[in-house]
Amino acid sequence: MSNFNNQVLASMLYKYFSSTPKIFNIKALILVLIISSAPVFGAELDRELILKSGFIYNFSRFGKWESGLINQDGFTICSPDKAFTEVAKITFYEKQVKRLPVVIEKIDVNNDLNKCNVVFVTKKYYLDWKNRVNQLGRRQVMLIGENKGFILLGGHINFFILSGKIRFEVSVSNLKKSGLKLSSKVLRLGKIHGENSHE
Amino acid sequence: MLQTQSYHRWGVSFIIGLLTLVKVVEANDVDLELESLMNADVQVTSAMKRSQPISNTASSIYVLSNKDLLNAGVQSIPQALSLVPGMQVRQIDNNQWAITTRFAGGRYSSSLLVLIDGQSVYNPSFAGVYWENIDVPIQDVERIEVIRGQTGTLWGVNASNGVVNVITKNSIDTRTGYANIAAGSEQEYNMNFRYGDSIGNQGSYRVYSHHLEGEKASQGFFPTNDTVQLNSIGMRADYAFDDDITLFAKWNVLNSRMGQTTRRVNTATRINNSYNESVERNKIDFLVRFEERLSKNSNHMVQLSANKETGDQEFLGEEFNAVDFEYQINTLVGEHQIDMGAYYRYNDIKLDSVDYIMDFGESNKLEHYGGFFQAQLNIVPDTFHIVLGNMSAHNDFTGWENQPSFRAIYKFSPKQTLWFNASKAARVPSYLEHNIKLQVSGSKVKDFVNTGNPLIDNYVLATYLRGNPNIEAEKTVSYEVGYRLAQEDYSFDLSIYNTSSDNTLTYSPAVDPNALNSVMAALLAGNAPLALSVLQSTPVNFDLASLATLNVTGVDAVLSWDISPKLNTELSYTITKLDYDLPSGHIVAISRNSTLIQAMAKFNIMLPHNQSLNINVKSESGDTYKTGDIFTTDIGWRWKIKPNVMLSVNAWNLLSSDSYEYLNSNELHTSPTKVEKSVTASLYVEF
Repeated sequence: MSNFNNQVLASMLYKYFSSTPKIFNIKALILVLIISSAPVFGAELDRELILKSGFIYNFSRFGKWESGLINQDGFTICSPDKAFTEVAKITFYEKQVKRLPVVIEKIDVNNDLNKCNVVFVTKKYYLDWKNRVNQLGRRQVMLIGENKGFILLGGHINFFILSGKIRFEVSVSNLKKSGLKLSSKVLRLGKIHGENSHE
Repeated sequence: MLQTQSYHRWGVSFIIGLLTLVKVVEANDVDLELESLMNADVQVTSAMKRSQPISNTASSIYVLSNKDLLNAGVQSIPQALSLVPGMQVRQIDNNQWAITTRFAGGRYSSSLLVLIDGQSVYNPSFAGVYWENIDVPIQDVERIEVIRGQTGTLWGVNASNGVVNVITKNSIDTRTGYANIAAGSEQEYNMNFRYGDSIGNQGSYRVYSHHLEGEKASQGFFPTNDTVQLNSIGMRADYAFDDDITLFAKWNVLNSRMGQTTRRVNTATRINNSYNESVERNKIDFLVRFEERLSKNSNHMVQLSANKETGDQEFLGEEFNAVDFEYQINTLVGEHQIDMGAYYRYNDIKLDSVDYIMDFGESNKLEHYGGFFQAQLNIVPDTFHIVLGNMSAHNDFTGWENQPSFRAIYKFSPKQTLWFNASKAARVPSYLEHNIKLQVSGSKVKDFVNTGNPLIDNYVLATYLRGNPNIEAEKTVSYEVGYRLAQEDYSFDLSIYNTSSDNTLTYSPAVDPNALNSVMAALLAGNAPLALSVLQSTPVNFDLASLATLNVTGVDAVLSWDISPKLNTELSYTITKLDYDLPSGHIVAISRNSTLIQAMAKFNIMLPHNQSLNINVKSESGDTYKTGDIFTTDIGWRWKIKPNVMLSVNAWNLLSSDSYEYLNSNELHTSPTKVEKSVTASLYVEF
């Protein structure tokens, strides 16, 4: 069943409810449920990405770039994943970071990252990233990922999920090497990479 | 009533005065977003039934965050619940509580379900909660969700008045050392300790302990003996095998020794006497849960929990064992949300029969099982959805009980929601109501017949409160309509409800009429000794029956207002009206016809130099608890001396005289004492 048919059914049902006081017609409702219950995944924004974009907003607010972000017109958050950039455009709408308007850029992993202040590498693009990472150098770009091993590849912050909630690990040493710092407000909530780590 | 009006006037004047005194300072940026994100669930569904934004919920729901609890200086779950508008929280004495919502609370209330991390903590003998033995470290509570009104479709039988869901923090968020030491006028000491750390790269744990010793009240209905002594230790561990599979396990061991003024019948005189005793309880709880994310749109969980509890006091021994198994799957199918689940619960109840409590139950092993299905149909996405569901639950006393519900939510703007809720629920008789015979303080012959012979008329008959294996489940139908408005700096939440119940519990006193006729005949024949011997074998039986109807009507209104970033307030007003319809000769077993009006005002004020102040004022008028009107004022001051060190001073019940909050003293082992002013100083250190 397509999205369109779902909407038509929803509209019919809405009219039905609007026009009749007999609102407890269970048979009708179950029928509609069965007819319209085929998967329509992706019909709404990905909640996990929405939350992660919120975290990235906070990492940006509470991060410190040694260069001081001088001569910039905007604060640029990049990702190769269009699904994320679409979500981020909504999350960051009219938001400012370091008194700069936020710019969301969909980038190609192989392109120059210099225009980015933050890069988020989703699982989908992790392998591309892994192949590219040695050519990156140590620019002042906050690197955020969501894959095991991201920190070992020089990443700064890595998301993981625990009991249905988003958590993150931070590599303070990688941040330092890149000329970046994170406020203790963020660090106290994250897991510091290397603590109790056998890797 | 005049006194209440005076209190209201005083309260309003106080609030206005306070508002004018407070210096409202412009805010700096306050990082609230990150904390909220840490608490947000990745999926719309979660193992704890379904987690949703409050704005999408067709129920009267209120959430206390960890910050709310710490701001108010709360030290126990009952104290926390006293912050919830519409919750009736009455302190019986220094360790016992009567707590409910949309009804009248009692020491043995059984229609408010209490869950800690999804584990039901009710006592299977009376299907209620010994609140004094619910021991959850407040510093590790993530939030307390309170649903007012019936929620049987999701939560099963005995949730007909509401649900209290205490959710503790994931141990990954408590990987520090923590100590909290408090002392005050009612508490000799109250100490909490916690240590948490990581388990490799994928897990974490915390261990904690709590030690409390409190003093008895100085005035009571009977000589006071309500001392408190409690020690507990526990552990929680969380482990993520990967991003999709997580394990959560916890255990808790508790020992408490509560002073109690026991009124127990002397079987020789057949009259109650008071004894100062103590009750020792030992409790072990265990829970393990696996959650798996099956896809972006669905997850499922399986949970096993168990608890064992013993209670020892002079002449009475209790032992309860419970094992719970639960499975649940939540999924999104297209635009629709589907929740399904099943549960099984095994209870083993042992009561050592004593001369005044007799257990005539055929079996002390009880089984409950059932399943639920709920579908949320998004008719017009983000605007109009309906929720249909049913819980079918089986119990050993009344068989299958169905609890269907229909809910509708209409968001007529992004910030305004109108909702409607119609549901049926059942309250299953408890083991005590079904199987127990209790000898209570005797009735005199003249309560039933006047013979003219003072010796006979004043003779005290042996009197029993008898459970009844034939009582039926209380069936409740509830209709509720609500409105929510959420603006940037204020929100308003209103719900109006009507709940009507059949098969509500009553009892009626009965004496064998033939025995009374024999007494009269013996007296007419001038044979008083024969009349006395007949009376010695003539009991009065108060038999429980399920014959009343109860209508509860009410309103809950809550206005939250962030007046400035440094001052926020919450004002609430609730009405609960109970109206019974009884057969002739019957007495209501729980509560009475009454109207309770609760008004509450809460203020949180940020002060310079990392200090803050909270003021909670509450007034309750009405005679539901036979106490008349009550008025309480609690004030707390906190000073964050360093990022990891905080000092607080809390004054409870500050501006009113010592008074009873509960006077239904005819309950077993319940002897109310006056709630007194008290002051507590606490030091919190995180390391």
